[in-house]
Amino acid sequence: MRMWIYIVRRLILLIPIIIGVMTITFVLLSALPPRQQLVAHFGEPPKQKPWLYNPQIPCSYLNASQKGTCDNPYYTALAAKLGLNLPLPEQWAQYMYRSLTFQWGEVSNDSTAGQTVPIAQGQPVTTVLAWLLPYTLELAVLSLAIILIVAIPLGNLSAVYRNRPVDQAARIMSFSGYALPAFLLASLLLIGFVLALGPATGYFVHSPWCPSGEPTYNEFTGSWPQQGCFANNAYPSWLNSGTISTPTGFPTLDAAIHGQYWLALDTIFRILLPALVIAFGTIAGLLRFVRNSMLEVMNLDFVRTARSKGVPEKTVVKRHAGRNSLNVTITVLGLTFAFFIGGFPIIEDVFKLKGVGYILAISVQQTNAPADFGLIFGSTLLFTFIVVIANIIVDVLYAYLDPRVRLG
Amino acid sequence: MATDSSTISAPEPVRGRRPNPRLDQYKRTWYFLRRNTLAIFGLGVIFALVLVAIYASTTSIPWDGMPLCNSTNNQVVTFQELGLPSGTSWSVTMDGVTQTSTGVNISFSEPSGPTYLYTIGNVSGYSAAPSRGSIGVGGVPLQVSIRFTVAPGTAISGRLSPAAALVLPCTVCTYAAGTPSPGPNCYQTPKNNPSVIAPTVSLSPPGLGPLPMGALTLGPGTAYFYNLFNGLLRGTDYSLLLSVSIVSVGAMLGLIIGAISGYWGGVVDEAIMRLVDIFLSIPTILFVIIVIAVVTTTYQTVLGLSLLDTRVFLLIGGFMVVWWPFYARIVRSQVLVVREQKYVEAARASGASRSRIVLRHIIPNSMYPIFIQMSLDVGTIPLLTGFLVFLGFNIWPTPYFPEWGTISAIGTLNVVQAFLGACESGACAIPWWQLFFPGLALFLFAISVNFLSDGLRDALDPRLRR
Repeated sequence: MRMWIYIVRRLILLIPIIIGVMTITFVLLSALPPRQQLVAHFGEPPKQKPWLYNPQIPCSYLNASQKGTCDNPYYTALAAKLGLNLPLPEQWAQYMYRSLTFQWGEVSNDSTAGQTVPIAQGQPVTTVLAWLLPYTLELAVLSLAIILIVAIPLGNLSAVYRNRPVDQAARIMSFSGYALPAFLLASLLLIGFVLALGPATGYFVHSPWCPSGEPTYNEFTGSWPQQGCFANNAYPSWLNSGTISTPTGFPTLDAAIHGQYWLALDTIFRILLPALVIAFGTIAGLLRFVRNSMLEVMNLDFVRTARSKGVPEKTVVKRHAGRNSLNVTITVLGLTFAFFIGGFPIIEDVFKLKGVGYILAISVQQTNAPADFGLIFGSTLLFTFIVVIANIIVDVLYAYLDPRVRLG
Repeated sequence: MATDSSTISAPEPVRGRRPNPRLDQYKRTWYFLRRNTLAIFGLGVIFALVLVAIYASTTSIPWDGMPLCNSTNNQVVTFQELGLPSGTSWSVTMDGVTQTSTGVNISFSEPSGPTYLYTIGNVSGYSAAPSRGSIGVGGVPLQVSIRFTVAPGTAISGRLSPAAALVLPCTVCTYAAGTPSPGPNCYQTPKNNPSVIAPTVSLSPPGLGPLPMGALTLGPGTAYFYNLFNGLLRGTDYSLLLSVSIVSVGAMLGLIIGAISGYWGGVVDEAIMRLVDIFLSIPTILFVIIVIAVVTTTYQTVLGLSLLDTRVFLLIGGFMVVWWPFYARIVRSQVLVVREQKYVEAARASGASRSRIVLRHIIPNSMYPIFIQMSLDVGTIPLLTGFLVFLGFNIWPTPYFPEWGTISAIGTLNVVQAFLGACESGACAIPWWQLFFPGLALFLFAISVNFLSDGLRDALDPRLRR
């Protein structure tokens, strides 16, 4: 029962955080000129009517016989729809309402993102993000799993064998994780793997050990690959029918639901390398904390008591010290989650994974076409919500692991 | 009043300032740091980099851009408008060709050699300066800044400085492969194609000569390159300055806010901690991207700064806004410990004001964790700017801006592009030096800083010293 009260209390504390985050994005959005705010919400004006978002237009555009300048009725209507003519507090209230009801605007036709992904043109931002989110979530879950599997045992080991080779190796790993930019590491790994495995499998970016040339489950075309990672597999019958049934949207789960376990495995294989790169950077930060908290716990009285009782050293490390040092690990992981999520655009860009990070990476590009503010703000809101939700989970885990938190 | 001092001898009063009690702590820290080989290695590398930075700031290479060379004989002439509201259509006529754009730049590609005439098209309500002129094309790409001002005499407030000018011309000369270069700025011409000056991708590996670290081509598929060695040299002071300024401003803010939050407690503490939570939930990189994109879309420049200074200001500001919460948290937890100490109690008992206690007693004694975190973060900044450039997000007004993160991002992109393009067709020629040298510089910098901060932590924490 105490646990539930604790969870509800944490959830209530989240309300000001969500309001605050959205207020910050609102301040940034309303710093844009009205024209750009309209573009961010409704997309670029059509090519035939470039004046659509101008407040004043020559009257001849509306009525061929008139002269002089008139108010643009289209602009007035659109601005009223976004509430641009209202005072700022009311605009803020409208923005909050729109954000919470997932009206995040539309993808522009002429932005870099719209040009690169034609299928997303004119679609609501939330729809496009919903297509892509499952891929990013799978990647996040896989890299989190790698982080937990590697960082905790390695951190504990380097605390137990302090200043021995294991500790030194962990230290070097941690430092190089800090010092190597993710894009450099990702590119090096990509090139290395493709060079090493390419001759056997054919050169391929998405996953070097898979011979086929397209990623599984391309969200943009809604198609499955022609050939899986494990060659000579029969082409699944439900793919031939033309309509793809995707009950969950998660490629791995979908394949498993259809009984195509090799396809599910294939999907996991393809995101293994990017997940490793993401995990490497986060492990670097985490490893030192795990080691230090383990060192601290190992010096506490209850560990000495356990030792003097004659509990085997293995059990002391695993059950007594290890369990107690987990609290710090979980907290630090929650704190670095925003950083962890921020690394996705690069990795998805390098490995050409079609996820939220990828769409963000192309929507910020402004060399050849304008940046897509609708997508930028949308994916920032999405990433922030993910971080907030992750923090709730961390808090609950923390309370579960440490009774002092929920009882104190 | 005379006192009898013969019976009771008072302790000799110390004259002048009392010796600083923290001096002993500094000495002790240095003693333990000195015995840590890795930390001393890090300190040495950082010291050397600072020397290089000081040297670089005295060289003649311009501050805001690298002298470029072009590997084909066609040159790009770019016209850049300043002062028009975004989305306004404007046009340039050059050599009989008219181009119209609503963007900032209009580019022409013209053969080198002759001098061309250009005219700026009329924009209603604005007057252009210069509105016409002539330009000699040869050697290097050119950039012309056209400044639009509101027509009836009222000048736009603020200083609008033109974008980087390109100065040093590249000498074109040919010589046999394997022989030394006949002069400075003279680059080897690839066999079979004498009209193209090396290095196109993969044609100028590093070696002794004009390009000791090879050349950095600007983005895959472009014909421009510059001397990688010069770029890295020039980038040293820039990268160091940017990292140190971002981190120190963020830390300063975090220190003050964290100290207030920890010492005042109660409602103030609660409010500040919620604010910290809000900022900690926004992904760092995305926030910086949005700040730069929004501000540069609305205004070309802010606060009367030049184009480059505006970007630097926004970069520092953006990072600072999302960075102080980390420091504030660290400082707060430290202050919660420090404020219970006897010396703070003593200060309070002797009637010191709150601000004096915070400034003179609490802040100086909660500084050390901040130093460690700062030294960790300094190494991260060039990585993050590289991250932005790698995404294709223009942070600098010129793509050839000498900054380590930018250089390594461009180099990595080139390598990946060459790899995907060439290796799939069988002929693998990877310009590895474009990735290796900038990566090495970044790695060396970040790892030295990390070694140093790890050494500092060990030297400062008595429990780890055993």
